[in-house]
Amino acid sequence: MTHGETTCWTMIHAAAAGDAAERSAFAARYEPAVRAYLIARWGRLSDAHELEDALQDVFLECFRQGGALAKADPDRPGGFRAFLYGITRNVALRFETRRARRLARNADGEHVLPQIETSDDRLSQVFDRAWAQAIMRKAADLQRDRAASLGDEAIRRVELLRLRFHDDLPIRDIATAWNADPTRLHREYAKARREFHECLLEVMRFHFPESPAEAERECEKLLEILA
Amino acid sequence: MNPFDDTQPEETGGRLDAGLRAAFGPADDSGVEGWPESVVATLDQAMGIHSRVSLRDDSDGAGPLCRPRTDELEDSEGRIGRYQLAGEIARGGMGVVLRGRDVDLGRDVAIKMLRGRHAANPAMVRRFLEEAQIAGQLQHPGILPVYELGVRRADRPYFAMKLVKGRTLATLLRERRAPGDERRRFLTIFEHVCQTMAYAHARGVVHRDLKPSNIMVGAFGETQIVDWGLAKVLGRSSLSTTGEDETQAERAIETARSGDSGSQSIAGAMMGTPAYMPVEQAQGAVAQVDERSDVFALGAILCEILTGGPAYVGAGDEVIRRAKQGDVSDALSRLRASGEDPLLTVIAERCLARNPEDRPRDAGALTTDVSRYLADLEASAQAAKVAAAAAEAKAAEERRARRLTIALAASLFFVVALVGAGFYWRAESQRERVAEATGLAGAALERAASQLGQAKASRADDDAAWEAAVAAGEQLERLIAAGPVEENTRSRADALLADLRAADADRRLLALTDDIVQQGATHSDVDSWKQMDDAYVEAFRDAGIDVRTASDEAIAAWIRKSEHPERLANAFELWVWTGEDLRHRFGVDRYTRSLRERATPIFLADTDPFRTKLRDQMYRLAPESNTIDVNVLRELADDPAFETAPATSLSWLGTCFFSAREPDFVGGMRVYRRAVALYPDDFLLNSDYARMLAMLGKDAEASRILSRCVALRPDVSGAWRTLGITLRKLESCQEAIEAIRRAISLQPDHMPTYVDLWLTCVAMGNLTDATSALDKAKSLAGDAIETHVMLMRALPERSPMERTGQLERAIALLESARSELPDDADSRSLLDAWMTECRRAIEYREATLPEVPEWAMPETSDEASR
Repeated sequence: MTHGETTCWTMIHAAAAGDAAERSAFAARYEPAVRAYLIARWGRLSDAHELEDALQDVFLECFRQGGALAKADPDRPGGFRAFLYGITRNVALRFETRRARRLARNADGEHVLPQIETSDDRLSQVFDRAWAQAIMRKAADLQRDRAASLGDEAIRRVELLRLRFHDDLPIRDIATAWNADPTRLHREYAKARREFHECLLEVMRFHFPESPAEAERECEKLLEILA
Repeated sequence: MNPFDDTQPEETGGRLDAGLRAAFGPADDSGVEGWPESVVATLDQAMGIHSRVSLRDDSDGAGPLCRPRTDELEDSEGRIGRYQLAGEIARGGMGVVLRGRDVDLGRDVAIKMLRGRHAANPAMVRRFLEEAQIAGQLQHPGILPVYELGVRRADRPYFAMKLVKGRTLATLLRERRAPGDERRRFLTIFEHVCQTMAYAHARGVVHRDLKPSNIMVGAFGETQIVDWGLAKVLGRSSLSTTGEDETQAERAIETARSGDSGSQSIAGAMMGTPAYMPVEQAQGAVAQVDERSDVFALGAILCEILTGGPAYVGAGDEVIRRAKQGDVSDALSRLRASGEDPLLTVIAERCLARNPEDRPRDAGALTTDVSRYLADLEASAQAAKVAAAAAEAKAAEERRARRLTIALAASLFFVVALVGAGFYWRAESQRERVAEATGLAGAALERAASQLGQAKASRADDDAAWEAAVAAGEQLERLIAAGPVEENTRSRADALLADLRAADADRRLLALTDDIVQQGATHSDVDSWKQMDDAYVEAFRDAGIDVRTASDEAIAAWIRKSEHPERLANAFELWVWTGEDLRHRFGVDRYTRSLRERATPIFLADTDPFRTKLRDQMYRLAPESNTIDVNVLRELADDPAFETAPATSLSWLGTCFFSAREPDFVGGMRVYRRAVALYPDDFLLNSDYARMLAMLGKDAEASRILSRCVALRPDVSGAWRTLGITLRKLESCQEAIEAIRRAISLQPDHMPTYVDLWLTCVAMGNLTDATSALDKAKSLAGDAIETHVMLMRALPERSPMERTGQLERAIALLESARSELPDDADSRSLLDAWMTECRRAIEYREATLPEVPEWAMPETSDEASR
């Protein structure tokens, strides 16, 4: 992990301080969840420009001096996920208010306010699922990074996971393709899963630096969300 | 279960599988991932060539507002073809307009897609393709360019076009505080619209739905016409210009339906927007819709610019009704009251003409008018600027003059030159304005003269021809009043307008007098005849003469100068005879002069030999005159002039025959039959004929003629009532009741009709309705005696025994009522009139009518041929 020694909070602080690399990394990490939320709320055909602007606003809100970050509490229930969810929701509401005013000012009478998904439960689920997916992909990235430093065996295990879950191939077919012993390959597969799990916990610790137990509970929760 | 247990077979997988699938599996299709691959992305991936040019955002106004969702696509669809979708802008009956972005070229587009419900309808698909092809082939700055025609999933055609960033003309017009605001700006926009439509018309395309909401205006005034969904490609035969070279007359626009016999428009269906729609389009006359239909819509838009409202305003049904009738009177009133330059309102009025022939032939012709007007406006403004500049220069020069004499001379020369230029410019501009106004007035003069000629050639009661002539005259009058017109044209116009006014006044008077006699003479009560007498006097007075006081010569001269002297003489004659009937039949003597004396102007004005000879006999009908000479009547009946004599003269001849009591009434019946054959649609002639038939007891024949009368004038109460009386005599009481009730509906306060209703109800044995009718008659009369008189008048229809008793009883009752009536002249006069009525009824009863002769039996084919 590139920023293994940092936490999300320190990352935000660095980004807020103007560190371009941190800002870019932060946005890359959390953008999918925010985008998923906005699309779920406004519809897939929402104005692309407006959606991009809202995305930007979410991150600016995080980085702004004296903004949401200043009020953020690292110990709050739900951790950083709940924090980002709150900011995203507030930014979306602000855009909707602006849009309503613009419609009232300019509409020919032929337009109505766009349909907006307002069920917080559903939006929260969408956000959480996108969040979980982003975390899982981050864990996969970390596993690839580590494998690169560990050597061919480790890289082969990552490839095994890719074939299993991307190409949907059973282990025995992969063994046939690789001309490998299926039993041995099963053990490699189990090891690859454990390595993934470790990477996942590592990513979780990034968000819960003070409490490994909390990180593990969050990990369980995310898997439950995806299941 | 431990999800990380490596002993578990992968088929049973745990929750970790979900995490692994999210981590390593394909991207979830939830919108989290980026947009679908594009040409640029593909090249980037394959060759590492990355290009992302992004220009500064358009500054020509906001893009259209759009809904982020559309139910025309599935939620999972984020793009069509190579366009990334961003919401729905608008929707119509045929298509939905989506906002999209061409990710490769980095530009926003509007995508019009056929709605799902029409995807299986070949006609709608064809129409949609036609719209795309028309818009795609019309290449003009005022028409949105079409970028691409495509199809989604093999059944939903779409086309991508430029995304307009601006506002509709409808919005801009609505936001004005008053119709006059920013007039010049809106006229310039209108000129651009006309130019665009001139191009479309030149290529054989009519839009058919021009209206402010289909006109987009950008921040810099650029104007574009949108929505060609109802556009029609004119075939060679429907182009309104004629004489084109055969090869040039090929279809200017080729579409999928070119040469297809399938009709784009369904005859009889209304397509378009009623408030801007010409009558031919509103009536669904598809074949008649051409460039001039668009010209009407352009006129409606100009009307909205000038007055704030289009051609038709009001509630939905009202607008549709007016559009179908082509009733633009309200729009014309608004234009005239708008205070706008008449040269401009006349342009709008010409466009709004009901008859397409009277509109500019296409948008090109209209553009010429509008552009010329705006150029003149510009020239006037320029001249004013020059004059102001000259004045300023002069003032400055005067200040300097005190210091430098030499400079004074030079500067003065300069000032003079400038002022001279200004005056020259103004004079030149004035000359052009005079020439243009004279040209317009000259065209209007020709049109008015033509319409007046047609109207004069038509019958006086051809309202449409006369209304067209009057409208053309009004237009001419406004043009003459509006601008500087050459004297020659002005004097010709004045003469024509005077001619038109006189002819129209004549026509109106004749129509009015026709109505007076038809409404009044079909009744036979004193009040109806008094009203008829009053109405005649009033109508003549309104036409400029008091016939009660004017000299015979003056009246004769007035009759002679009419466009239709013989008809006016006849109207005057009917008034004279109304007075005579009041005196003779009802004992009401309103005029001191004798019948013949009052008729003197007629003899002076109308010297036609046939009519003079007839009148010589007619005026012997008066009691104090000589006896009618039947031989003279026979000569008149045999005169070749009979065939061309007016219907009224023939009716008079028939009446003279009857009054002469010639044996068997042969001559009279013959005259009426021939006359009715000559004038089958003349109401009064048929009515007189029916009256004569009824007198002869030929009720069946009379009812047939009366049926024709009510068909000719269903609004005349007396005709229905007379038909009812005749039907009652034929014992067709139910039909009689219906006819009488129809008469009551047309004239609900006419007491005698309720008496007839009472009699008919009695004859049917319906005492309830009879009592009700009698009560109503009494309430209208306000005096039971009057009702009783009316009952007596009906008695001759009943048995002789019954008549005798009733009439004598009625006279006794009237004698006793004399003492109860108020002691004033009116009451005495009324009572005397009733007494006269009773005595006439007795005389009538005692008169012995001859047996009905053979010829009076129903017509045979031989009779008809005669």
